[in-house]
This record gives sequence, structure tokens and C-alpha cells, in this order.
Amino acid sequence: MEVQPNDVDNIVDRWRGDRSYLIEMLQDVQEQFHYIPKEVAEKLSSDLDVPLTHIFHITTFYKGFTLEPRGKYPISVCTGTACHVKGGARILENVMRELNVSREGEATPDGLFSVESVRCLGCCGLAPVVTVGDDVYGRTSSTKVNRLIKRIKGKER
Amino acid sequence: MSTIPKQVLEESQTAGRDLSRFRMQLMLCSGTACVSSGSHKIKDALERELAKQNLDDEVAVVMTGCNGFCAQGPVMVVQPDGIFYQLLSDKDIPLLVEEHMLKGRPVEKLMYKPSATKTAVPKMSEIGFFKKQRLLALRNRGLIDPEKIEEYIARDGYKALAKVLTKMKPEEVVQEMIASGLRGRGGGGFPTGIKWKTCRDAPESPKYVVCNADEGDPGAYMDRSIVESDPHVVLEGMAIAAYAVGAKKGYVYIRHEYPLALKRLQKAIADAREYGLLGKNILDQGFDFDISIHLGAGAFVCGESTALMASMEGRVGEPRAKYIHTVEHGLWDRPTNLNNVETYANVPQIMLRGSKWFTSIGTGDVSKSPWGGSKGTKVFSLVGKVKNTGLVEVPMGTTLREIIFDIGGGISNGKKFKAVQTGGPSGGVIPESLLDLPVDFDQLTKVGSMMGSGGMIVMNEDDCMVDIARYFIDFLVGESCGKCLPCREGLRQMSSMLNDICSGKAEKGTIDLLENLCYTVRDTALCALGRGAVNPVLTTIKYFREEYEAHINKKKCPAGVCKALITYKIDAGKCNGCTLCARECPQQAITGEKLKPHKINTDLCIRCGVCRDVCNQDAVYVK
Amino acid sequence: MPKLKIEDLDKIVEQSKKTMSVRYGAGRVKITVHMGTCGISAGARDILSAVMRCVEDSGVDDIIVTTSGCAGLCSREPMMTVEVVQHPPVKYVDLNEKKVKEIFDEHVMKGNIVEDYALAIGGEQML
Repeated sequence: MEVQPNDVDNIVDRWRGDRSYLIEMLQDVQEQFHYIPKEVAEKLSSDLDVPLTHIFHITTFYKGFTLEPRGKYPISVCTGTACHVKGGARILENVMRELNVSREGEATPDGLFSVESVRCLGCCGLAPVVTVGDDVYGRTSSTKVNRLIKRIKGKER
Repeated sequence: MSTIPKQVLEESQTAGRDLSRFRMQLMLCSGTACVSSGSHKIKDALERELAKQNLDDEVAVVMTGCNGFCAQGPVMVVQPDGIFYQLLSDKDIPLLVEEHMLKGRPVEKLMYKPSATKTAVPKMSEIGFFKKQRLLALRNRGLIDPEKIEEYIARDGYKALAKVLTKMKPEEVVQEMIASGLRGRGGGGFPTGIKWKTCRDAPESPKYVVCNADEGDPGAYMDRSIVESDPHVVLEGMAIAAYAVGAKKGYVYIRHEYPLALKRLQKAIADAREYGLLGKNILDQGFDFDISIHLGAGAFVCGESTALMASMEGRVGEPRAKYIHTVEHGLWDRPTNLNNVETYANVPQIMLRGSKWFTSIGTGDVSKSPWGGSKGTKVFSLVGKVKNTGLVEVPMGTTLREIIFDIGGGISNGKKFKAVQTGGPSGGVIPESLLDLPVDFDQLTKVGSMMGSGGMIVMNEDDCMVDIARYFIDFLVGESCGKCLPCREGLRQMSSMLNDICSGKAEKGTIDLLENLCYTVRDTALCALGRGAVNPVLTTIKYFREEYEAHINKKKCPAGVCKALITYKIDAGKCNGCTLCARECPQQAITGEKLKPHKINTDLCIRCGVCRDVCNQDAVYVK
Repeated sequence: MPKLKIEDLDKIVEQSKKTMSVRYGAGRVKITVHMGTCGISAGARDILSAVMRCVEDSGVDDIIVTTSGCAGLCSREPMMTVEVVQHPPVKYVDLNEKKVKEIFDEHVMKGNIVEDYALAIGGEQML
């Protein structure tokens, strides 16, 4: 999604330009663009008179912010304890290998997928759990996720 | 199916009696057929026996319309257990009242037996999972529509708030809370009443109440479930707390990973405002209180009170030293009362039914000090390698064995129990020898674990204890805020030692070094995140030292988890040559002819485990 | 909605009981689909749509369909509770659309509990 000139203004206005709501503003940015684009961070910095380093401090401290674009289908593999004992970490490794990405959060060259681990999603009764966008898949496995990826690829082709 | 005539229905409301205060209702059929077979005689006998056993305050007899089983009449249904009794005679009643109503043991010989030859559907109270559970914080689960405030009100919702506002002074509410012995359900187990009192006594104003819904412990989801299934109970609990401590403003700090809980909470707050249960002049009693939501941005450490408040003020969530208490100097340096979701969910029932009732449940004696015991119930998320996974609520003092084996149904797939992990990343693992431990705040701490927020992850013989310790330390390395050195660097060193052990690179003496580092971090870290981080390591060493030694001395992972120390094999006796694994193997490391046993080329194998996942014959094993 | 006064709470209790529980209310059957995060990820949304379709197809108007939060036993999701007037509620587990149809035809319409899919009858034990 392209950043429009008034996107940042709208978000800043929503919080009355009050810089103590910086986290809320950044959450709105994340919600709208699915990451924090560099130009948005810079504009927030100058509009609110907050050092850019402070914005980086916040966006790198909290897991809810990402500094690079995610894939169109962001895959999150739950690595909560219940999912861990049911093989969540193996699923993460296997999906990363399947998508041929070397680190979490990196989007595939076609921009379709990105994969990352996520701390407990609170669906422990259905472990292991993987989410793709807003859809939650419980009692899953590497094979099932790989099939899902193939299905999405087919749909997008 | 017969429908009930309207006048019978009205009659059955028994002259405006408030049935909700009865613990049990006996729905006695007074349809024509049952009356002719003597149901009025049964009614007289029931009332006589109930009075004799002093149960007439707790058990109501309700005459209902025909329920259709006329051939079995007189028929009676006991609610809420849902047990049918049939072909009753007045001679049966003394036994029935004594056994079922007094002692809680349904009388089988009087029960309805379906004519079908198949086994009957059991009662909820016969299902292991539900049998030993007693609902208090979860009392509305599955019963009400969480998005309809009327349904919450219909289950005595906001009645406690009304009682507190009209009949109790704030000081009395605080005293009642201290007397109840309720201790914080978020992990620490600090007495809620004492917290309220300190906050109330703090001289500064304004004051705030905050609800911690930043449930971060991996493997725990009690708070999500409470907010999703019964959001108003949290609001009511907060409003009562606000009245007690003298606050007009409250905040719920909730994880952004819980979108459904957030949506239901927003709706609940809007509805409560519209009904005048939040806002100005609540219930026309001159009390003002409103609640806003603060969405967490994803940091485990923000579950810590000082970090949570820093985050709410728009800063990064770094904890500060605890000698300045947040109840006196919290949010924006004002007195702030912080409790978690489950704690607030207990408040309305305590106010409604009194501290004496509450102290009748649980362990210890809190009459002299709230630290003297653990009262009430606790909700656990029972997950991992157990048959019935889910959320369970049991009285404090229930043993681990009852929770895991009676409620959880034991270990799934015929495997053997190995350990249970409680208390999240600050808790520890508990071995089989301690299964008869009654679960409460103090007992769990004694064995090196803790109550925490209530995660209970069951593990079997296939789980490596070193891997579990490494898992939690790696989790916390990622979540450490980095402010203090013992946590920031100490955990990193622990992680590297544990990773060495898991990959077979560790040398003799690593265990002692690891233990020493644990003690240093425990004694010097700034907040509970660092101090508690050592518990998973120390308890796994304490109870499963031989497993650590096997990794180091024999370069073996006995549970078959640690990748560097295992090889995948196919049992030629079990393999039926279906070729499924060979097709799924990402390395093409599996070969074999159709319908003949397959083989894994260990040089190509990357130990991803896909073959084991897909095998229908359970033929893939780890050595 | 005017702001509530203390005495209004009791009125709401009375009114709501009629819509909430078939024991007091207008409906003949109440179907509750359990929709917490767990239930939804196990497919509760499809179950709810299947129930709605069944109700629509049957043409009857005495069935209350409602949703509620998690019923606790996540490993058996999706779950639903069927309560026929004058009978204790029955919990069904491990549902799919086909099972829903069968339960609707047998239990909701004819009053016969589908034992193969039922977990238990009755309610949970409160304190």
C-alpha cells in the first residue's frame, strides 16, 4: 500500500496530535500498512517533534510493530509452550524451508508470503496452531501448512 | 413434544419466588398423567424431607407442565444436574433427598433409563472433565451470550455492584475483600484486599484502577476466555474496586493478539455506559466511574506492573525497582490498583455472597492473615499431552493428579506422564513423584515452581526437559527489556549453555556453571521476569539431572527431541510401503519400493520430522 | 435506553429469563454455538451457519439460536448445546455440518438425542 500524504495527518489528528499517544498512533500505522514505513516514521518524528531514535526504540521494543513489509499472506506459527511441545518450532523451520526464506518476517520475492513465530495465541487447546492472515488453523502440521501454501499459490496464479 | 400450557408455566414460577437463589431445583411434573399417578404426594414428601434436612433454603420444588414421559410418571428432573427420576413413589423420597440433595449422589435405581439398547448419554457430572470442576470465575461460561448485557444481568450481573453502592461503605468493601483472603490470580498471589487498602489509604489523588489483560504466559489463556465469554464480570469487578479505593477512572490493558476479546470488551463497555452502569452517577447512587481500553503493543514484560504502566504512559515497557509501590505511585505517579482479569472476575461473587462463603472453599486459614492460605478456585489452562485439553476451574487444594488424570483424562496416545509445567516462564516443571501435591500458591512455590497465571502444560516421555528449559530461556531472552544486566546478559549466557547441551557441544561442569549463574540472576535481576526466569532451569536440573547428564556425557537425547543428537529410522516390521513419507520428504532422503519397507538415508536427512508426522503406521521412530 | 436504577436490574432479570432459557421462555428449543477463539478456529462459524440454514429450511419459528463463549473443553471443539423445553441441555462435540443436520433433524425436530455425537447432558457445577 502506497503512503498517501494525508495518511499520517489523519492518524495524528485522531490522537489530537498528543505525542503521549505515540504508541497508539504507531499501532494505527501498523494496522493500516501492516508495517511501519520509513517515511511515516520520519513524518511522525517531525510532526510530533519526537526524535526518530525514540520511534525506533518503541517500534523495535514491542513485537506488535514491524519495520519491513509482510507478505500478502502473513503466516504466524505459534510457539507458545503447548504448541512447542506439540512441534510448533519444527513447523516454523519446515515452513521457512518450504518458502525458502532465511529469516522470520522476510517476505518471499513474489510478495505473497512471510512467516514468523508468534508468542502464545491463546488457542493452546488446539495446539499446534498456525494463523494465515486472520484465519486460525488448529491441530495443524508441517504437511498441512505446506498444502495450504500450495493452495494459496494456485489461487493467486 | 408437548408444549406447556401458559397457566402451568406461570404457576411453575411458584408465586414470584426468586428461584435464582436456590442451588438446586426439582422440576416435578404436574401434568395430568403425573398428577393421576400421585405427583402431589411426591411434592408433599419432598417438601417434608427437605425441611427435615434443612435444605428448604437451598433446594426448590417446582411444579412443571407435562414433560412427555407420561408412561414413566411421576417424573422429576433435577436441575442444574439434569438428572431424570421416574416412577417415583413417596417411599423413595427420604432416600432420594438424603443421597442426592444432601450428599450429592444421584440415586441410580430411580433414574430414567432410556429404552434404546445403546449406552445412554452420560450426565455432565459423570464426564471426567466436568466432574471435579467447580465454576466461580467461569460461572457464566457457555451459558450467556457475551455480547448481551441483559443476559449477564439475568445471571445476577451488576447485583454485587448495586449491593456495594447501596449497602456498604468503601472501607467495608475493602475489609470484606481482606477477609475473603482472595489472592491475585495473575501470578504473584498478593492479597487483593491489602492492595485495595494501601491504594485507598494513599493520600494522592486522582486514583486509578487498572485491569491487566496482557496475558503473556505462553500456554495460558484463562483471561482471554473470561473476557470473551463474560466481559461484564470484569467491568463489574473493576467498578467495585474503584468504589473501594476511591477511583473514578479505570483502564483495561489488553493484548493486541486477542481481537475477539477486544471486540467483546468494547461492546460491553459501550453497553454498560448506555445502561448507566459505567459513567456518571452509576445506578443513580452518585458514584462516577468509567473505563477505557489500552491496547498492548506486544511485550511480555508489560505484564509486570511497573512496565505495564510505563507502556500505558507511552514509553517502552521497562520495569522499575519495586521499592516504590505502584499502589501509591503508579500510573502518572498516582495511586493505582492493578489486578488481573481473573481476580476481578472473582470480586462480584465475593461481594454478593460474602467473604465467609468464599473462605469455605480452598486451603489454609486466612482469618488472621490473607497470606495464611489460598481461598476460592483457580482457573487453569490444561494443555499439552493430555487427553482433554481445555480450561478447567477447580477449588484450590485440588491435587495435580486429579487435575491431570481425572479431569484431563490422563496422557494422550497411551504415553507415559513425565512432568507438568506450571507458572509460565517463571514457573517450573513438576515430576511424577509430586503429582499428589495439592495445588495452591504456597505448595507450588515450595517445590520450585509457582502458580503463575494458571498455565498447566502436561508433558510425556517424548518431551526433553533440557529442551523445555532452553525453550523458556530463549523465550525470555527475546522478551527481556534489557534494562538490567543480570537479565539481559545472564539469560543470554544461560541460553548459550543450554543450546550447547542440546547440540551435544557442552563439556563436563556445564550443569554446575549453569546452576551458579541461575543463583546470581535470581538474586540480582531487577524484576520478576529475570528473577523467575531461572525456575524452569533449576527445576529441570533438580528433578531431571540424569537427562542433562545424558546430553553432556553420552551425547544422547533420551526423549528424542534434540535434533543434533538423534537419527530418524523406519521400523521395517511396521512399514507397509505406502510411500507417503518418501513423497513428503523435502530432502528425498527416503527410498523404497511400493509395498516394501522404506529406508531413511541419514546423510541426507535434516531431521525435520515430516515423515513421522505423515506415517499412518507409526513406523518412523527416533533413536 | 434510559440509565438504570437499582430496581430496574430485577426487571431485566425477569425479562431476560424469558428469552434466555427455554424453561421460562417462548421458544421450544435453544441452540447455543460456543464461539470463543478456540471454537472459531476449530470451525464454529461454519457450525453456526449450518444451524441457521437448518432453521431456515425447517420453516419453524420456535427455535432460539444464540452464541456463547468457550465451553472449556477445547479439544472437542466445535461444540454446541441443544436445550429442548423441559429437558436438560445436551452438549454435542467434534461437530461438522453433516452432524449438525442430523442433530437438527433428530434432536431439535423429533426430540431424540443423537447419542453418537453427544458428550453429556445437564449443566456444569457452580459454586
